[in-house]
Amino acid sequence: MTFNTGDLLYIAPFLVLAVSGMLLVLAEAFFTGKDRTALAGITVAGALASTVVSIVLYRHLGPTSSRLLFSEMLVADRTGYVLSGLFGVVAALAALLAPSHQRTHGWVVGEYYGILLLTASGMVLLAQAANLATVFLGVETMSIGVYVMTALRRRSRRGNEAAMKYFLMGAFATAFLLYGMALVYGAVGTTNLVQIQQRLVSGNLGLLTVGSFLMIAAFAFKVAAVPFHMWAPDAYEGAPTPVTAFMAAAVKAAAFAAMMRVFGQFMGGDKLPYGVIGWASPMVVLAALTITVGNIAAIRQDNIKRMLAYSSISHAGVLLVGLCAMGLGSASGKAAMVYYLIAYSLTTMGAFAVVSYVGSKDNERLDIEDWAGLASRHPAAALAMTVCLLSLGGMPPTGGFFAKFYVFKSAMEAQDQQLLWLTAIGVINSAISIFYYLRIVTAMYFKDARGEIATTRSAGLVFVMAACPLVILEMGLFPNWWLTL
Amino acid sequence: MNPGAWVLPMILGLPLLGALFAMCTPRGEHALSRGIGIATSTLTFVVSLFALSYFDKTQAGYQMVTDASWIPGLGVRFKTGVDGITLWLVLLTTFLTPVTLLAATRTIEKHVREFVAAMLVLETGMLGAFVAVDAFLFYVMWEVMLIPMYLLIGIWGGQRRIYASIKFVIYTMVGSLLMLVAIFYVYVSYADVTGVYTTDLEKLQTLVLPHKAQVWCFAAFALAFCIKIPLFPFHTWLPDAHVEAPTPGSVILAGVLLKLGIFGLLRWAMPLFPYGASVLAPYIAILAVIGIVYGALVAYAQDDVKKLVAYSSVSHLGFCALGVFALTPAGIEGSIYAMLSHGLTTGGLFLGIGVLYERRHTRRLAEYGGIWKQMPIFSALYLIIVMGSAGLPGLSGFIGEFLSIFGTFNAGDTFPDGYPNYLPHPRILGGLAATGVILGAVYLLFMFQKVFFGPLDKARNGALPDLSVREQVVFIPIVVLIFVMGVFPRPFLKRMEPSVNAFLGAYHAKLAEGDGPSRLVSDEFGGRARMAIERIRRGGSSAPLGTEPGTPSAPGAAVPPAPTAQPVPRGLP
Amino acid sequence: MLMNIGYGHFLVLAALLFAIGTAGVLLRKNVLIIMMSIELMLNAANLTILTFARMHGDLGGHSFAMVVIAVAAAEVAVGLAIVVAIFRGRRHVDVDKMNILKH
Repeated sequence: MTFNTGDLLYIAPFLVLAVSGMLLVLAEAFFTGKDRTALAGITVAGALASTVVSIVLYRHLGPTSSRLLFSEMLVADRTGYVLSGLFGVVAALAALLAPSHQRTHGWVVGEYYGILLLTASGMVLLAQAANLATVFLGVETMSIGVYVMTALRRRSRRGNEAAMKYFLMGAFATAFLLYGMALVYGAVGTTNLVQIQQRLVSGNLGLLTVGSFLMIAAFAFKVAAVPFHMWAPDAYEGAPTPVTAFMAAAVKAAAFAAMMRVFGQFMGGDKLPYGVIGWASPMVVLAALTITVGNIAAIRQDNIKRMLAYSSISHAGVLLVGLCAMGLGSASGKAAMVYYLIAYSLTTMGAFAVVSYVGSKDNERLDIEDWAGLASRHPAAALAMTVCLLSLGGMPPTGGFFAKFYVFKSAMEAQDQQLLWLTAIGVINSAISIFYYLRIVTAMYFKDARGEIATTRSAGLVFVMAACPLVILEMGLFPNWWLTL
Repeated sequence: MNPGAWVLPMILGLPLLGALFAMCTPRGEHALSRGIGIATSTLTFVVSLFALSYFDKTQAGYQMVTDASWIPGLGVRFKTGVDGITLWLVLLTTFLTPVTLLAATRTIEKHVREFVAAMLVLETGMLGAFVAVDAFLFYVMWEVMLIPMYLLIGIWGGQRRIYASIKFVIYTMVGSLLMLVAIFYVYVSYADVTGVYTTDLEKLQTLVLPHKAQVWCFAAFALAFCIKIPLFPFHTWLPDAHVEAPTPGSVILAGVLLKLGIFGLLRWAMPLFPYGASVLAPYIAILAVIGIVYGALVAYAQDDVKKLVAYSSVSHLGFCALGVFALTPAGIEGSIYAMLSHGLTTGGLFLGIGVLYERRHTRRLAEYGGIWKQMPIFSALYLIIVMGSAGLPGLSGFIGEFLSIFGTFNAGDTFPDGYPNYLPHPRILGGLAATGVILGAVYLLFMFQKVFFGPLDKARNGALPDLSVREQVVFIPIVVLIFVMGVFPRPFLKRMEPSVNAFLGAYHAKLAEGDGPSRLVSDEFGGRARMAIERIRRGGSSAPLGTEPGTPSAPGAAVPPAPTAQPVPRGLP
Repeated sequence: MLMNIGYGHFLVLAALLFAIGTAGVLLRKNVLIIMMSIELMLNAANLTILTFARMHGDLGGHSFAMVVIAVAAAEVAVGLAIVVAIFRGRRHVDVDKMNILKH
């Protein structure tokens, strides 16, 4: 075993995030004043620097070449860098959302920024993992950070309760993940994913199946797939809105990045190599349940954050469809997943940006009825929210539509009967989802406002609200460039 | 090489640009926003007239084609073109939009710039859906129409506008998403056969799917389109939407949006899945006839003028659907003609209701009476529109309804395995549909009489001002076109004819390919299509073109119906 | 009687510990006990990993176990901090009574 210093270059995105995260935690101690806005600036700079580094490495690496790093613990390839670039961007957006929200709602905590970047570094680790140990490390670095971020509103009873539930469920899932990894390890005798892929056929089938099912269950917890989704609405509702945005966008995307690595790439590939059922059949059931239950539960919600939580559950279902397609040998499965993750993350950030924009001190305006008449008072915010909601609902010409289109296309391409049904279920659910997304649009545009609607303003927040919808529209109208990533 | 290729991108882009400008106007500058709206939509209309001048009436295929790369990774292209079927629908759209915007000056008084922007985006969506020759582009445009219409109903609508707008969206979405699944299926099947992913309609059309798949896919497409048309029993969203929508919304909804259903069947569902169409056609034809009679009867029972006209749309669109599924040239040309006429007359009817509503703020028939004495100009113009809608010979409505019923009468031999004998004979269907014409005249004249004749006994009707100059500018072109279409159908039908014949030729030739796994059309396809077109031509089923309007007996006698629709035999050498 | 203790015994023991931990999480109401149960599960998994590492003669498994121990410690630290925050607010740590958030 040798330590190749040249490999350090290839994990530069991770290093940038981790180092600037640690520096921020230290720097926080020197900010004695009330204003923590400068920290947000540093955070954005660090996160974007990591994205830039990802882009540089992406271009440096050939279109198909990949490189194993540190005794095959990590892997450097284009998909990994695209996703780590995305995590950097989302972290920057989450940092932009925070200062005004913190000031308005009384949770000025400087640690937010440091933890944000450290959490993002865990995500980048997941995007580049090539070993079960690094997957575990990435998942935990990310999760522990998010537990803390959820609990940052110390005095809020809702916040504490949400953090507690999230923590207990998350730790419980971690145990399953680890036990599943242990069994897979037992079956093939290595935690190295590249070698696991080679030994899948010769490994102990029973251990492999049970182990991978346990891992699926654990990941299903992390991405909030039905029936492991119970924590999500509570955690989303209780966490401060910028944290919710980060959770919904980046944490979910990172968990999917890990699943793409573990299941899509190494334990799947061109048709599942092991067992009669492989992991695809339970995943198909999981996907169908997730899409449907998430949607139907969302219809009944009156709280916008909870509604978006359930909507993100149903989006996890669609992503699972893409994952199944990827595992069952669809050529475009990976590109579809990457496109979906980008579109979904940016849309979610945009939507939550508007949620944190609407609302003022002591009045967060989280009920749909509170949004009545927003369009006449704040037309730009209402328009931004509408674009995001249409994208979530999969209406053209937004990125959300094309993302669904592409995922379902790759599912059909896999030539698998169960995926055909899954596509039909997914499409029908899109129609259902329009109903609850339009509830918000209806409130904003068709109902009259009751009095003034005070808002939380800051340049960063407005930037996120403007940039996300524009990028989503661009992604929907000219998706080709994004498909080649 | 491709003259006029600039026209279609231009008419798609102009309204969008106008919408952008309108949104940039300061809030409260209503006149400016309206001006921008009317100016851009008028300009769009003028540009679309170029399409008419560039149109080569001897050609059957797409003209003025724009074919640009859009998403090469998926084989999606920005491909647009017009043929004889689309040309008139495009013109109808570009004509109705400025008229509607002009008429809305008094109707819409809040959020004017948003209204103008919504109308213009809607125009782009509708035009895009008409001219798209790419499945992806078509679907995108189809959905793009949805949101502005939803906003039109929801923001500027009446009391129950929220209910109506949500109902409209949900109905349309459910249908269109099933259509999306079918599009996926065709798209992936084509790639399986050829190894190339494409959403180009002209390429997808060369794919022959197994019979079972065709039936399913056709059902998925047809559901989307039947909801849009709307065919009985999928029509329940329409009266709600119409009643709650503001006048401009109703005009565009009835005038153009509903036509997209019929158009979709002609352009997408039937050419892609002819076998599916042939299996389901009788059922859809029955639903159409039920719709004709039911719509007419319910319309008669209404006290709300707008509801009455809404149900009359259900009835009239039934004629269009019936004509399409007659699968004869006369039927299809009649169907298209009826769509154009319905766009004008129903648009006019709704505009007229808008005029009355602005003055009296009620839509109840019982509240009116004796209006003629107060508003003679309006009443005279409205009478012509009503007559046109009722199908009086010499006006536009007559030609379309006559042709589609006539086409249905001759439809008997169109179906590949013989007409299923457990279904009503097409002549019975045609006969029943004809009663719809009579009923249509009854309820429309009944409505006209209630509103305009009789004693002027309601005090509040006493001081109604007649049409202003602006309103006359709105109504006169409509009335003139109703006359023109009624007296000179030939220029219209002449341009449709090659495309309709080609449509039927390809339809029959593809039907003759028979069952089997997914594959491309065989080598004989071209020859079969040509033979079928030749038969159709020789059959002279477009004979009514040459006859004088208003003499219904002539064409019926002149045309030997049998060869018209004779299907190409299966085992054709 | 002397029993030959082999890999199988370790694996079964680990499975039992994992099951006990799972039962603890699902059945107990006190947050502290739940956290202890989770620790039990993690350690059961660790035991499994170590057994297999021994079985396959693979050093990677041993180092994996070390990583897990470190990570689990960090996780518990965060968990306890949250428990303290909760306890300050409501003077109890019973999960059944945590129901402010809508279901």
